[in-house]
Amino acid sequence: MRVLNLICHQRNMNSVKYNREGDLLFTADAGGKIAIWNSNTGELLGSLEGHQGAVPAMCASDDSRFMVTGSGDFSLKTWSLENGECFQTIESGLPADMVMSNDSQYVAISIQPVMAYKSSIQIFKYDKNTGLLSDEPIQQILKSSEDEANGLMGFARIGFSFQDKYLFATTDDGHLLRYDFEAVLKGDFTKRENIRIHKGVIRDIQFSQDKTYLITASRDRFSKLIDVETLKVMKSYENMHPLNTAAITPLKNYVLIAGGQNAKDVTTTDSKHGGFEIKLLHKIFNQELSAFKGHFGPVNNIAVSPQGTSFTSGGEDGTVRVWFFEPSYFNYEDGL
Amino acid sequence: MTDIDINNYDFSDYKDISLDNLVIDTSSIDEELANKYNYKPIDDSFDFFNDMDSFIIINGLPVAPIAKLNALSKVVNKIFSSCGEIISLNIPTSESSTKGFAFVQYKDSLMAKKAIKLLNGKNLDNSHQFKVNSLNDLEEFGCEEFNSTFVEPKVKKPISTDILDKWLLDGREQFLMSIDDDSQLVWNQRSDVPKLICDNNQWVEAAPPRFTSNGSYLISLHKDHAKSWGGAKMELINDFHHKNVIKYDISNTNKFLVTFSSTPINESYGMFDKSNYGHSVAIWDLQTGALLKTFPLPALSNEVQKPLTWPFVKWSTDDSYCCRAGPDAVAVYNTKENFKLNDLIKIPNLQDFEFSPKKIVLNKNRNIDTDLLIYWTPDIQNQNCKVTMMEYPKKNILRSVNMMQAINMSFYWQNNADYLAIKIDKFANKAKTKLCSNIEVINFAENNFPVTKLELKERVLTISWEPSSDRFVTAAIDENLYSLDDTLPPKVVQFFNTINNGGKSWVLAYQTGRTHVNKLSWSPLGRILTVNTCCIDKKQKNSELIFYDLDYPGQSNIITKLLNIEKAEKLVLSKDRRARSRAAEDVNLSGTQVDRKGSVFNNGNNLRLRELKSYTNFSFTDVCWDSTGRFFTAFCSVAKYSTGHGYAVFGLNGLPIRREEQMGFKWFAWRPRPQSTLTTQELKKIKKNLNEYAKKFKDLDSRIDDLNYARLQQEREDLLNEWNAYRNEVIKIVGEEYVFDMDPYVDSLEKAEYSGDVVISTKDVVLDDEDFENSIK
Repeated sequence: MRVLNLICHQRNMNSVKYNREGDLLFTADAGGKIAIWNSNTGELLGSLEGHQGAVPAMCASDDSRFMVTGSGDFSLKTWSLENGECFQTIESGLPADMVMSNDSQYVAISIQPVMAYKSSIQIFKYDKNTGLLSDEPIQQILKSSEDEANGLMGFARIGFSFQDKYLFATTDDGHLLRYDFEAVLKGDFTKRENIRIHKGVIRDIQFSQDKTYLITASRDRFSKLIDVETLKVMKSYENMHPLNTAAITPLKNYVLIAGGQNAKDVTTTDSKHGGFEIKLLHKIFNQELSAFKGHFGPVNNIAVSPQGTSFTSGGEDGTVRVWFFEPSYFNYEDGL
Repeated sequence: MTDIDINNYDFSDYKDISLDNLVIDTSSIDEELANKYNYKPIDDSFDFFNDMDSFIIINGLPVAPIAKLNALSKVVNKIFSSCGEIISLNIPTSESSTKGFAFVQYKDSLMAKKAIKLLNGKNLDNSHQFKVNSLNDLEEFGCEEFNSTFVEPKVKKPISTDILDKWLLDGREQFLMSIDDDSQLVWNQRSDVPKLICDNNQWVEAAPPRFTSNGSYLISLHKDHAKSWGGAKMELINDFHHKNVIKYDISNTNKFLVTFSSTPINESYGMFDKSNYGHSVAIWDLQTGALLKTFPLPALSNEVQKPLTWPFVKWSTDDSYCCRAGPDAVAVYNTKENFKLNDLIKIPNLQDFEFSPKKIVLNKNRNIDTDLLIYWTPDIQNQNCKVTMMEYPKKNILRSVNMMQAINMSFYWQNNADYLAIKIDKFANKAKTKLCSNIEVINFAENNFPVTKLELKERVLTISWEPSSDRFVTAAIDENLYSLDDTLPPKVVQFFNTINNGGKSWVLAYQTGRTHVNKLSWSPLGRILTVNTCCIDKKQKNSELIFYDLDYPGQSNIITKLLNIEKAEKLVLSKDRRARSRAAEDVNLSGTQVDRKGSVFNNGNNLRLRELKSYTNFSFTDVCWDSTGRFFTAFCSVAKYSTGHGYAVFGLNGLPIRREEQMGFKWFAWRPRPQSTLTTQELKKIKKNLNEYAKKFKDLDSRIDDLNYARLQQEREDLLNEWNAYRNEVIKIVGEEYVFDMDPYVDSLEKAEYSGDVVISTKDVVLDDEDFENSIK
């Protein structure tokens, strides 16, 4: 297996994403550094300089011309990927996640309840020709009074389903919320489904390529595959260690899950016992196929290339690895 | 219980007895003493009824005429005052004679107890026997409500061995595993998922459950009970109610169960009554559940004696005797005679003692064999430290060996009792800062029991004999190797082999490099040894497992056949690459050789040693071999280590067979098989026709494999169909053009190719293809 070890970041990784074509790779760390790579060669193409705090949220436009990032320095920035310049800065809360709608009309950002800011999901209008965000959010989803009474915790990861029909959000106590996005745009936040699918915080949700089902990764050691329309739990994958991230591979019926022990516990155990391997599971048979070893700390992010030929992982140890699948991966039959 | 029904007591036999015949010296009893008993004012504050314990009633006295009352009371007083100060003595009389019984009040109840214990059943003369009881007993048993007819105690019928041992008809092994609170008994199916036989959430409570050595029963320990389980579905068979039981032990032939409670018995419950008060150790019949005997915990005689080590009760080879240590003595009980005290062997300053595991043959020609009791006494009061071997029950001292300046001593028997290794720890230097060990090996297989003495510079921690063989290995600390970097002192494993030098003697054949080994375990078949470094929370984080073959390449026998099965089921456990290079480093004694296959092995002192496999990449806290020696298990228990819980099963050849990671994994135990009852001729016949049997089982195995494969295929097909059905549903809802596995836009792009030239600011790590192949099952 060919592995690229991308060396640039010194701090723990916050976010790893591909662009739509899969030729560019964006990585962001807790120090505010954002790097852009050629995902096939590992060549460092450039970096976006400007953020002073961690960058947990970022998304590139479908045409790979612009990028929106949100940082722990309480700002959102929009960038031109052609020259790496920042052309817009908006003051905001501390973002947890950011996602662009499939039609490139809106950007949704979940805000963490830090300092004066309340936990919310802000919807910005996005201009795909200029790459500019609206100065103010056009809608802001706050927790309802009922949610407050029920003690629902803050919004974390968010995502759009197919045709931007639904806006999904996770909370820090294992709930998965589904908003009707059309209603949200009209300011109606009551069309909402709420299911508790995990006992622990959900660290990641990622969608299939057609966005008809999604995968969650939770610290309760489980990863679940959920149909967006029925919200039915299709599959449940158990791991020995808490999970940070999970991804669905295109091309093959596999999923990748990764995580590991809490960073603070790592010092008490040997790295080989921390569960820092990335596991390749069969999506349908729920069977472990392989484990990729390499990270010395918990794995924070996984992104699969849109072609399904490689994937990238970002670790708590600040390393980014691009893993290219071997022919044996593509030739491996399901055994039927 | 003594008969105390005084109304029906027949005294007529004693009428003619003259007290003059009694030879008792009454001169020392003066009149003053006699007067003292005539009147005693009752103190108001004296709580009469609460102190009934200090009264005793004596039955069995002669019926004497009134005239001889004084003489009788003198005699009784004389005898019973030996147990303490008597406050009052009352001999009831009829018109002409005494009635044959007497009441005595002692100063306190302890004296009364002593009198009951010492004088009950003692003979006054040929025809008179004292029957001494507490007055309390009279109230309890003498009242009308007390049913004096004998009721047969309910004793459970032992369950027939047919039911208990039916599982042996299957060729497969069984094992027990506990995950969280749930325990399962399963069939071992090699690499397949084990097949569940039964599960139970009660087996793991206070301690891990344990099988008896013949595999018939499973013993579990609970807060106030020990329980035995057995039969096809492992149902509860017996419940041994013993409050606060903390330890248990099973006798050699699995007849008896010994339980030990942290608090002595102080109330009547279950099978315990007053006679068991103050006792902490109980012996039970394992088959019927009946209580057989209880002991108090012996007091330690002096400061020299080591603290008692479990098991407190030790059993002779065939369980006909059991013994326990007392202060400066060993008490031996005969199990066949209702646990009657057989012998009290006085041994001043006794430290530790043991029975031989098998009978020792004293004379081969005449087939004389005996149990051997072996014990040691320390260096004290101008006496040398001494190991003594005593024949039992004859109590002849067979041999005693003096040891100089020994601090501590341990016995290690070979399983057939052919050899005994005695480990003697002593100071290595005058400053008494370092320890070293001597090993004395006593050869019971030869006449006169020759002794081989081995003086080592290392401190030996443990000795392990190869089963049914004459080789042993030791784990030792070389204190000269100790460096400041080490949190735990590094150890070495030493292999000892025999040489024939006008008689058998032992020499060091091979020594490994530094390890942190903490467990040595031999395959029950012998020849294969695993050297284990188990994880210990907060102390030992890196585990290591090494398989050694001590007879490389070996004769053509069953073990060699098992070793050559190279059918390794591919597992995530990968081979340790360092193994080979380290093996070369290890060989620090002469005799390293490399054979044609490139395997490094050592040929020092006739020991052809080879490292078969070694693993360092998973954690384990315990290891065990199955009783047939075909499977080895290393498992990591949640009770002992924080991560990596689960188990791994290996073949005899060290190849992994099954690995399962399981959160909350607690315990693993193979179910032992009893010893074969086949005769040597029958065994020979089986060996001769082994191929036929092998074929039969191979067929069975392949049939099961086929079946499992078909089942797996079916399961997968069902899952796939279910998934496809779901996708079709999605297509109906979303529309066909919007459902895809890969973005059509991305798919339409030209596939990016890796050029390999323009690598900037990256480090290219290329892993072997083999690694990926290995990692994909």
